[in-house]
Amino acid sequence: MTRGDEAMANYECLDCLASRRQFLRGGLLGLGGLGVGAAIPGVFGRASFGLALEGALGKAASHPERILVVVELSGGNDGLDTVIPYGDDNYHRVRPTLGQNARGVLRIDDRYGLHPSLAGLKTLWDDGLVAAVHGCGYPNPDRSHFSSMEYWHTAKPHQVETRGWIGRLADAAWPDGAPNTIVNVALQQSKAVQAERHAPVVFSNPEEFVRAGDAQQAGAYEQLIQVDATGNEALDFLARISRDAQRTSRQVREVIRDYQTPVAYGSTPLAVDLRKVAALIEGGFPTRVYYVSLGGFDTHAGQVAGRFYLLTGLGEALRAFHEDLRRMGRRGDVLTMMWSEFGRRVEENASQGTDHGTAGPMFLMGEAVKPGFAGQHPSLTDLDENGDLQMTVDFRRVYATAIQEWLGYQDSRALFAGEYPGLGLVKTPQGAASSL
Amino acid sequence: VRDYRKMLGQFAMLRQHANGKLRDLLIGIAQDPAMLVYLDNHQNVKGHPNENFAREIFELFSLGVGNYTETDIQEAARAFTGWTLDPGLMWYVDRPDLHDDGIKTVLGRSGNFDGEDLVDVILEQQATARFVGAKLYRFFVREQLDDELAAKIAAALRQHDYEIAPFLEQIFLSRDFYSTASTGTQIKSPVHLLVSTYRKLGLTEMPTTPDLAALTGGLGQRLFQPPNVKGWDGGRTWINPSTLFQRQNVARYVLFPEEIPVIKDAHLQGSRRLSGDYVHDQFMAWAEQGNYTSFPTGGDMGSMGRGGMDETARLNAEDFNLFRGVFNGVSRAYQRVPPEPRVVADFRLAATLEQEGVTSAQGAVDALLRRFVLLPIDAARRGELVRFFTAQHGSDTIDWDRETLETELRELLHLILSLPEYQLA
Repeated sequence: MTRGDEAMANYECLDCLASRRQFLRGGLLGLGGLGVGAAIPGVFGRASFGLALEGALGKAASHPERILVVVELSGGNDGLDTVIPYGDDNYHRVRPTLGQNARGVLRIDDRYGLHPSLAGLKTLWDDGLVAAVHGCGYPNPDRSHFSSMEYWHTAKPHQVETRGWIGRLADAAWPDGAPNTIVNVALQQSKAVQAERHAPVVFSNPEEFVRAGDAQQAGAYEQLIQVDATGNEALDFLARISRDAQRTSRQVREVIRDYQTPVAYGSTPLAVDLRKVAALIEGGFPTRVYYVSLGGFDTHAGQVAGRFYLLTGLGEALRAFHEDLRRMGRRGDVLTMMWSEFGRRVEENASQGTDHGTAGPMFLMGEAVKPGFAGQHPSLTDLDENGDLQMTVDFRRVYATAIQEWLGYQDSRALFAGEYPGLGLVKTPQGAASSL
Repeated sequence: VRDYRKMLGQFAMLRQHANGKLRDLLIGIAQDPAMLVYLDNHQNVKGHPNENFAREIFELFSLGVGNYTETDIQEAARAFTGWTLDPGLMWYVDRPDLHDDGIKTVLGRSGNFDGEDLVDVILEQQATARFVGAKLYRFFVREQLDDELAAKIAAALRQHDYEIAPFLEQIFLSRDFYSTASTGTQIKSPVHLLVSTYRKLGLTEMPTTPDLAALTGGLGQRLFQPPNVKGWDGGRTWINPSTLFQRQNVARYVLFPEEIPVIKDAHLQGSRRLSGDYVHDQFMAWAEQGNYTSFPTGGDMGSMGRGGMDETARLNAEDFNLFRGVFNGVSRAYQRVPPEPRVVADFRLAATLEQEGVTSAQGAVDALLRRFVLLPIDAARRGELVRFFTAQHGSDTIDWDRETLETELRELLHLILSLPEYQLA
């Protein structure tokens, strides 16, 4: 028996498996209908294909139908320079030098346009794949990166909370703590994915996601982590994570190393990370939530040049990722949610930049979203006591949209310790009765 | 808390009171500048109470969730009014003019309380002894407590009148402290992991490489920079597949410092953090061409004559100035920090084992396990370790003259420090 066959034997949903395998081959080779067991040339070697499947099929409960990809824009993205209210005279008054005119923006309607560098995102918009939620924030906004980021990570603003919102979601929705449920592509784990029952997979460079030591030593190590359950819960946990880590490390490195796609992602940091996500999705990882981050949004000075490059890279990365998902036939299975810890001040500063502000737009992307704008754009004249935008949508409602309507976990009330209903932005909400 | 001096001050305050009276510790934290800033008590003034600190002293430092009401918090906040900072936000000052002198009712007691009175009210509560006692017990002894044990611990803490040192002494002399249920059940924090490794190696001086701050920070514990006012959550939250590898690799870097990855041109890399990836990469590309000073080109410079350059040229010029500024600033900052002498861990496993009278592979494995691992390792895995060392060494009898012996022993020790058991204390 090959590894893949072994994994198959442990898998409950055999139909899904068969179709997934055929699909993988069809996707990879451009041909459907190859018999099971046929040689698999090309992209995956036999071994890595088996490993990829092993990863996919570890647990029936982690049937990876609906995937959430969270994109964090770190540093405070200038919302008014992302979804640009170019049709509002007040906008040109508060942004005399940074403002974009009607010819500059990528026009969406008479009032709003996207930043001129977001051509990639505009392509997705024109394909009906994007919902933009105006004015997302939380009450009593904090203008410190650290605090605000923490609030968005925990989804419990102004409270002490040790787990992240994705961690709490995973603990509640997938309490078996199956390996690889959460993947965080980053050098260091985000607080958003901190869980109790789950140990998120965290890596940036997959080749460094490995235990150091030569092959002989690694061979011995494999034996040393084979520990029978002892009843010492901490030890049993560590032994289990040790074994999961070995397997995941091998799978992650192989799947990403071997990944080939005709889609040109480019080399911007987000594109590089989303390509890894695409590789894992196509490699059949049972991951339900992927978490990636892009920095560089803290534009206090000279932001025209900085945002020109940053947003070009951002838009192109998102476009390439969705093109790749379409190629593999998974664009309907993936919802991408994008946010930043705050928007920037309404008025530009004297250095052609903007300082820390409050509310900003959030984006949902994928075939599943009801495209277009949602929510109310904050007024540019009716500002808070600091002269900042007043949020119109609590960001937890957008999270709830992803949690309830997309992933189908209904009790977001318990996750947030409060009532934050979803926004109805998913075309085919996952019913409460469906399995997760 | 941005000002490191406040964190140093807090550290000194915690050390001063850690083994003293809980009352002094609670008052100390309530008057601690880092805490005052972090939880906004410097803005908690008569007429405009700020509840932030009152809530956390109840929830995190004394009573625990569920043992107070929202009204208790509001009233307690009034008691802490006037405990604030000097105008430079550096030192604690008591400002009676900002203190609310009215009657407050907290946890069933009423009076014109100030902060000290409030701490006394807190200490009267059974919940405080229970919460603080259990917290200490979990930290020093074990995670799992039943109600009966928790009640005993609380009684002991009250009996010692909230004097922490004698309370801990009683715990450390208790049978439970040495029981199986309390042994090897706690996951070491990153700092614990590294420092205890050094101790077990018999070091008397702290190595400077690998870098303690960078390693433990990478593992999730940046000293003096806790994630929030509650501190590190610890336990299983330290562990994911990636941090587990890093923990094992940290052990390897201690044993084989020559393998520590070196960041090429670290002082240039610093500009990445300050300027973002794109700007950094562009600058590095220019810097590589030796193009530090000349004005960048690109775009239609000819249009400059007609009242401005074209957009591309303008962006390039702006970028260039920004890059150069960042580059110069970062380089200068690095130059001002004096290099730390490189000190690697100084130990000889071979000498230690020889001194202990070890003669065989089996003996070496047993001696290292005894010294480094608290929990028993089963015979099969001990056998695997012996096999590994014997294969490396070429014999199961130790040849003390063999040139590669120290390396072989260190490879063996790296395996031992990679055991799941090694993460436990």
